[in-house]
Amino acid sequence: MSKEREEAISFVLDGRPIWARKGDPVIRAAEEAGTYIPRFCYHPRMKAVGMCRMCLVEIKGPRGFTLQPACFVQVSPDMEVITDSVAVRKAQDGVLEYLLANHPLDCPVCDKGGECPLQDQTLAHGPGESRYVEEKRHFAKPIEISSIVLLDRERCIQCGRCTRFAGEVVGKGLIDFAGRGANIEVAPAPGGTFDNYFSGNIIQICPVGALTSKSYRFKARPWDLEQTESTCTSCAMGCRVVLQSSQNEMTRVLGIDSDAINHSWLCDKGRFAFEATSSEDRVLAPYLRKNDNLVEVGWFEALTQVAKTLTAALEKVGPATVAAIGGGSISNEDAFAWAKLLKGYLSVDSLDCQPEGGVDPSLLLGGKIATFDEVVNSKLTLLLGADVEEEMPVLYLRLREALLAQTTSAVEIIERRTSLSTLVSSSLLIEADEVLSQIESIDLSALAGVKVKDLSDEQVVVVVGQADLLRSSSWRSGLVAKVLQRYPNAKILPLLQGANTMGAVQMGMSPGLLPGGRVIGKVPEDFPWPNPPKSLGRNAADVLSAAAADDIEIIFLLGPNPLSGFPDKSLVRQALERSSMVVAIDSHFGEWTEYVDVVLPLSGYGEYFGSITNAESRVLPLGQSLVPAGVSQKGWEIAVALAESIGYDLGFESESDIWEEIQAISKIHRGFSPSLLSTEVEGVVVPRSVKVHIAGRRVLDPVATPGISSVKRQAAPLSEPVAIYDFNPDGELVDSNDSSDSLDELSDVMKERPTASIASRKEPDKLRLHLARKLYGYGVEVASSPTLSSLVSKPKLRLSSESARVSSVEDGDVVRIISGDLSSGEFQLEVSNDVVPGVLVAEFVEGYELDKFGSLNGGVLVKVVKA
Amino acid sequence: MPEAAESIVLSRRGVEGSHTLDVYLETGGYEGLRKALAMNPEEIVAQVVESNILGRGGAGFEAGRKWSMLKKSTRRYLVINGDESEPATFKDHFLVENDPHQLVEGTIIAAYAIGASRAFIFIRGEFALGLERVQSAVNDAYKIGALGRNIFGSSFSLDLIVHPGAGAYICGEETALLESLEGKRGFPRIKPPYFPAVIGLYGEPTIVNNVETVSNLPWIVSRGGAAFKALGSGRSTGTRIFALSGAVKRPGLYELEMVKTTFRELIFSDDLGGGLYEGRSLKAVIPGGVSAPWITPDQLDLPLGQDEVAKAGSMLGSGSIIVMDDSTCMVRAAWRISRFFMRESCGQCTPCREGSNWIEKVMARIEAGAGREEDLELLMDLCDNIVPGVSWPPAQTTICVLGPSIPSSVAVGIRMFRDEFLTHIKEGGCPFE
Ligand SMILES: Cc1cc2nc3c(=O)[nH]c(=O)nc-3n(C[C@H](O)[C@H](O)[C@H](O)COP(=O)(O)O)c2cc1C
Ligand code: SF4
Ligand code: SF4
Ligand code: SF4
Ligand code: FES
Repeated sequence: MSKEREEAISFVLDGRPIWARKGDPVIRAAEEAGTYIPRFCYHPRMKAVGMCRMCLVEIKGPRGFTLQPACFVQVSPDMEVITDSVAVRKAQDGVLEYLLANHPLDCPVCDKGGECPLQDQTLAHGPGESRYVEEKRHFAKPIEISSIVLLDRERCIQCGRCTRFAGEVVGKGLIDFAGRGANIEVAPAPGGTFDNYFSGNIIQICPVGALTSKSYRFKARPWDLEQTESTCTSCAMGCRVVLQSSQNEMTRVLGIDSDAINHSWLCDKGRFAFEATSSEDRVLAPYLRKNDNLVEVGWFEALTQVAKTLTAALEKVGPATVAAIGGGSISNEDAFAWAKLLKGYLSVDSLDCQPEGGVDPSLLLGGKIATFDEVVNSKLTLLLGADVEEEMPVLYLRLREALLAQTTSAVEIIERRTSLSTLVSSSLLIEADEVLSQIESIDLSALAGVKVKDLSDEQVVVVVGQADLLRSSSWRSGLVAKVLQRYPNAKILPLLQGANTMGAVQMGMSPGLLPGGRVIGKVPEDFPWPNPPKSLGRNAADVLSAAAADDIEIIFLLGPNPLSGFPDKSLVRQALERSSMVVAIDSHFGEWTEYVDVVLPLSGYGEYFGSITNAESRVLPLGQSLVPAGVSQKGWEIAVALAESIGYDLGFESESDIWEEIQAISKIHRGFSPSLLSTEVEGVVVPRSVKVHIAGRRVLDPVATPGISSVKRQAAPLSEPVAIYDFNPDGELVDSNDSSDSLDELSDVMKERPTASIASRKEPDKLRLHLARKLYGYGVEVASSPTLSSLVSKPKLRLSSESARVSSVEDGDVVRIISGDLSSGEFQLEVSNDVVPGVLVAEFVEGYELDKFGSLNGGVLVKVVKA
Repeated sequence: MPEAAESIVLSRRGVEGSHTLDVYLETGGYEGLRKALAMNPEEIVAQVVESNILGRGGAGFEAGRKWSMLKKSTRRYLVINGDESEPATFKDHFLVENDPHQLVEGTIIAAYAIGASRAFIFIRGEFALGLERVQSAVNDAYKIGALGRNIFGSSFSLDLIVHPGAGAYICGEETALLESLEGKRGFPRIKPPYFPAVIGLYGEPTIVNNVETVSNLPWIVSRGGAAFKALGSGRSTGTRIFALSGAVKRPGLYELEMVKTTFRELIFSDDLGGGLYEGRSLKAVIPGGVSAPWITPDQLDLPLGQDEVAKAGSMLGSGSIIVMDDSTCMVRAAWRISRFFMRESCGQCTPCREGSNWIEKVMARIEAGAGREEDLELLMDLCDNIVPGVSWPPAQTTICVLGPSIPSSVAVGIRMFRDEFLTHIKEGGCPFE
């Protein structure tokens, strides 16, 4: 962890000497010492403003003890603080009574009732009866703050958390206070709303029931909710969440304040993805295609059918005729069990958890993976083809904060500007075909404003993005390889597509790989899998091409629609049509259901327990809060059952059986045990040789996240200055400079992949298509969550003015994209110099058939014409 | 009328065309600046320290001391506070309309002394004529080389920007003013750490001075700090404009040598306030703007000096003196003042936002005849929750001192005129109507 050693100081709290971190506000230092000071406006992840005045305590200064806001004043050595005097109580009671004066008596019908700091404070300290006999403030009923957030103004206590979140954290100050004095109210900017990827956070941080989500409003009462800790699976960040449910239905998801990951924030995709779990299109039972119709069958029938067809194909043709696509969105346990069945027993190597190309496994396994903390604290962060806000939204918030605070400096290299472009030191727009030859001559440190002599290459982090879905993984690794030549010890952070892509790769779900980064050609004698693959399989794109050419018979689709981000949908259609059996292990019916022959029902988000490994290689727990829908099963259970139907025993009866085997054969997971996940709220980074910070854990601030009753972190009071230790996988203390195993036995097999060439443009009016990855562009969450699907907007096209001139189109024109015989629907064109000339940027949003132009084989040339 | 020696900032009062450059130059305009530019900045600061001029914006802090506390930085700003929005305060209004060049000259001198290369004059938006006149004075100053690059051939350069306020009293509070100037909501900042002299405009060290304060500078530089200090007495040096209003025959602005005149003289002298109307008797005086606790007829011999009034439990504040005679309903007066604060609270801190609102509602109810006896205890307690102990000078539960101004008139009104409150309650209405 790159965190500086934190300095401890001592001060006097109600007469006792207390240790605290230097720079902490009094309110936090007191809290860690067990003294709770009431508060409303203070939020540990935002700058203190001292507005609500609820936290007034007496602090000694030059003029003796005076009342000061504990959230605003920082502890200093030997400072004297009194929190329990008559004067303090009078002041706090006064503030509370004032807050209640105009507050409606809504508690029985308010969503916050039961978890409301205002209600709690009032019950604990408040006056029994109101002295306020005047008329209360009235407002017309709720106003819309964003498409998903409503504000009941009379409940607002003007703490400014939501407005500060907007301005300070998101940087889009689209809500602010309007009016003055008692008429002050939170309001959206004239003509605008607080619509962005993060609007749901203001519901979570509002200390009263003023802000509600349209979907949760009036649905449940907090005391009926059961809470389960889990991890968001809507992207590879792995934000820590609690799932809250009532009567076997999830009602909401709240962000846990994790230092290493999400700082309590969630993006709206992660916050509302849970709605997909209870959507109408859930697969509740196995289905089998009979006479062209999918009919519901029992598990036995479905599995027997799959086993029969599979065994026949393997006998007749061999393992090369079977392939599996997906696995990046199922758990580690699921991935391992499927890898064991397909690779270890059936010798099938064509298994690819990154169908959309993704990031080359050799980089994921052989490179040094940066943690998010390292990204935001690096000397130089290089954003390569990354659009962080679209690809990993909460990381965007953290990077934005870091860039503003100048804890890192960044250089962006991409074909079009992103929301970070104005914050980075330099944003270079370079066409993808040119960047490979240019990257070596770019002076990155100068662009970042970092002096070369101050820069050791360990302090460089390369964020590898997938902002253009048409870029191949070999293009990406080629680029990264060139950067690594310059900075050999740089770390990389891949913006992977699946929540568990990293875990799946580590479990061997890529061609040529076995768990732990082992390669298929080099299996030791005592390897416990009986029948590992002998020859290198195909990646997903090749599988699809082969299937389209009748060269593959059986395709497994592993996990919730693994092909949803795949940019060449006509290829997928052909491939699925042509193969003799497509087996979907899926939680939802969807896009490809009509091409599928067998559907095996998979438990959904919140319905099973397990783990995932996020993009920084941190293993994180998934919690179960619901009874699985219908007769759905966990992924690994399905693998075990299918193995049984074929006649094999995978040897797994529980998750711990699986982990025992993972630990035995995966070098990456040495020293890791899933039991660690029950105590480590931040999860565990693997391989395990990272520094462990034994500073007392941060106490959960109950008012920061009203609604989260507790999480498993303990409040360890600081008793002495903090130390940082390293230990190796065997638990021994080591020198902190000792680097981890480099897993460099990843052999040539991985490197021999053909490199895709990039289509070069010869005719000037031909444009290369750049399909921009969008947060709401695709995915089961988006398709099946009512809240999220309502947020999808029509894709926009962007073109540079130079290219617009050549193509004879103008800003605002309605245009079509054409390529050969293909022609798209109509889109509005934006002409903008935020795009490199020669490239047409089209946002990739499912349902607009942009994918018909897609092809992973080196880019697509198109034209735009006026509609 | 005041004698010549006592007239510093109002010296051009009554002169035809006093706001024009020609008249200004004819009457010694920009001499102070020329002299200042021949001096070191440090020497000017020394003169201002010597003069001991107290800030005229309300808080009465020594201008020279404030300047000396300005943090070192390559960039410093000067901001002149002309937001004057308090009821019965109208001195800066007069100065911006009638002697804008004096203000501009004073501003340039101050900027030179503190090493600011950019200065702002923030003027209450409703002062349309004042804004126009100050802007043309600034334009004139650029024309004659008193602003811009190399002022009067010296190495000193300064840009001066005139900025209209957007209509909020709170933007007169110096940190709210800076927020407003930065284009944000006028929410006061928390001091510490946001003392303007340390972290001011755009985070840089900034001096905020009142219009009247800097309008004295041309005179101080021309005649020397000692000459200024020779006027007045004790800490209260020089002259000061008193804005007299209320139940007197001759309300208006009076520039008087500090401490040398008493409240009684100001109100009753024929050449000053001219006394009360026939048959009226004095009930109370607000000595320094509506934030100040009231004083009673038996305190009239207090001299018009900063420390003298402070010692008597109130303040000279912005120099606005409101006279209330026996035709004034004290409940109504206190209510109207509480209503002013209720409307002008920025709404940031709970005690000020909710306290001002609640207090105003109770006061309105009492004035309207729907009061209850327990309301008086309630009011005192509500005041106590804004100013613990309802003390003076006020202890504070709020971010800025607008909050603590709320209790002044209400609590003092109840303490001094409890019977009048009770009459309203018992008779179910206002006895003055
Ligand atoms: C609510 C409030 C309103 C104020 N309004 C004004 C004002 O209109 N003009 C002014 O000069 N000072 C005003 N002040 C005082 C300023 O904060 C500041 O002290 C003053 O401008 C400093 O200038 P001086 O030192 O020259 O007096 C106000 C203070 C408060 C708390
Ligand atoms: S809506 Fe909620 S978060 Fe926003 S200011 Fe009001 S109480 Fe605070
Ligand atoms: S950033 Fe990713 S992990 Fe975090 S809430 Fe959003 S989708 Fe979930
Ligand atoms: S005391 Fe009143 S005016 Fe001052 S900051 Fe607080 S709410 Fe605003
Ligand atoms: S003022 Fe400290 S919590 Fe609001």
